[in-house]
Amino acid sequence: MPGLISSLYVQAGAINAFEQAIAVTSANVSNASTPGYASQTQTLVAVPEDIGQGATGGVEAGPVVSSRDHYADQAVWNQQTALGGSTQSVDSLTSLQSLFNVTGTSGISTALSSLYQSFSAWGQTPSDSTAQQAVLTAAGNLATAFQQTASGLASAATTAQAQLQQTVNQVNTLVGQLQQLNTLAMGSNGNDSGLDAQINSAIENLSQYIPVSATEQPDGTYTVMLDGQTPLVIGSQQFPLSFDMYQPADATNTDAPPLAQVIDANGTDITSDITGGQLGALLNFRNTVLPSYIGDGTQAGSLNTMAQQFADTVNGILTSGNISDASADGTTSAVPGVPLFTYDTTNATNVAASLAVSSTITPGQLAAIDPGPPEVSNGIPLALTQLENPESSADEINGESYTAAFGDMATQAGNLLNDATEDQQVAQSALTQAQNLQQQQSGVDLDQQAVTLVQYQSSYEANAEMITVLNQLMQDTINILEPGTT
Amino acid sequence: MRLDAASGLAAVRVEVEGACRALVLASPEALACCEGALQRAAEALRQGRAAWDWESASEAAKIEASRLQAGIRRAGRLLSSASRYHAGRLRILSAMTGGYSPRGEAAPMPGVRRFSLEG
Repeated sequence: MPGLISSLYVQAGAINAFEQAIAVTSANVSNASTPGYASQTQTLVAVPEDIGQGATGGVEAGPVVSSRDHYADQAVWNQQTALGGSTQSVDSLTSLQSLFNVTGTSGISTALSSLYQSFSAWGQTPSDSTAQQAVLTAAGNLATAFQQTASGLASAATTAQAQLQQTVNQVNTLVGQLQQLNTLAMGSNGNDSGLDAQINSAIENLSQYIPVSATEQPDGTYTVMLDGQTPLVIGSQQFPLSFDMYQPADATNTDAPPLAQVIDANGTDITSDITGGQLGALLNFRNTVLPSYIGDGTQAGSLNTMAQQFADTVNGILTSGNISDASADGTTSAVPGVPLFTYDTTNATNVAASLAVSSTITPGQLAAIDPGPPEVSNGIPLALTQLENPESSADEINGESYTAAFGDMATQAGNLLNDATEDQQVAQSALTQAQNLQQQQSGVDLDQQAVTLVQYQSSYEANAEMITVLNQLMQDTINILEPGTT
Repeated sequence: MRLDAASGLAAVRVEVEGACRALVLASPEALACCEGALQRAAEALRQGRAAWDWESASEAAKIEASRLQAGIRRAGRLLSSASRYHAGRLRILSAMTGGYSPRGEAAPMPGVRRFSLEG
């Protein structure tokens, strides 16, 4: 009898162990598509067997081992960061490119071309009021085009600023979730595969926004850092980020558009550390790409520089001319030309937005006479027409015509968008590659799980059969010892 | 009659894109296919420089060349990311098996010999 009972005990233990193993396999199969889940393995431990000493042997369930591979996880997070950054760049740059249309019927390029045509027509009939009015109209259209482009860029800056705030809030929300999950993990002693999956899924979500690194602690919590330097969550403590706009210390123009900065929980500016993810792409767009056009505290921006230089050049040519000659008898002196364009002279970053045709100029005040010598009655319109294909460096901007310079701005925006689009496509492939490598290390292989399940099921059935046989043997033994009982 | 450059470049691009697909899959079998695909692409491009009809190179050839360039850049980036991944993995395995060098770096793993037969 003692032998039979101990055998029953061994088989019951084995059934318990295989039940747990089947439960782990079942959890693996159920979670095959669960984000962040890593395949688990139920280890089986042989129980010491020494009949003489009363050790019955058998098997018992050991610890459940996770196949989580932190190295593969980190590779996926890195690629998520790259994809998040390039996707955000494509989004931001698409809106930027639309402001630099050089092929359509509107915008600076078209308005510039129309103004040159009006200068040319005016040059053919310098005293024709219709031609003079056409110049004023075309100049007004160009000023409006500069204003609209500047307004579009300012609007893009406002949108980027709002997106930066939203992204920082989103980062803080996700880090807050991680902090709560860490608190739960402390209570589960690191044995909850479902919680582990939730934590890893949350970190993967976070990695779209910022570059992250994470280290699993012995208590099952994760220490998450931004770019390996700035703590975001340690155990149950969250370190929130904040967002602000500021003027750099070396700013020479305090009225210029401010720059964006991200500050850590200690008040340190960590903007330069955020080089990837959606937040990194937004910071680059807001602090580098847009200021190259609309300026900041240390630069005027190419659009403002172009607007100011063009206005100054046109005004300079016009004011060098005369509206009318001096009278032959010397009683009336020559009437000098007046400026065509006005702009805000107090803020170099506001030139394009404020460019306008002088409110006081009339068609008849357009100076056509180049006093020379020799005097040329249509010398000024000819000089203005010459701006389209300049022969003098004084008529150029950065060594090229204004049309070409604007084309360069459009090309720069287009190239940035093309690069970002290609980066996005490659980043998507690289992310899939990293996810496949991660899957090979810690994913659930359903074929393998099916084989494992069949093995455990067979073992379970064999042990159950053993219990049936042992039960029958015990019953027979009882019948032998106590005849008549059933 | 010589193959026109656009068709030749398109054929090379197909090989490069096949390699990219293999690199994305990243399984050992797929990576083995990738090596062959890239070799075939390089060889076809090398031979094509002399064999294809470049004189009548059309707009289509330029577009194909641009696509091929993008494909090669993509393959390069995927090879680079896979290489970084496996180099890092190797460093971890080296540290696990051989410990660390006196300079604190992962000890080098014994070189894995590859044996291949062609017939």
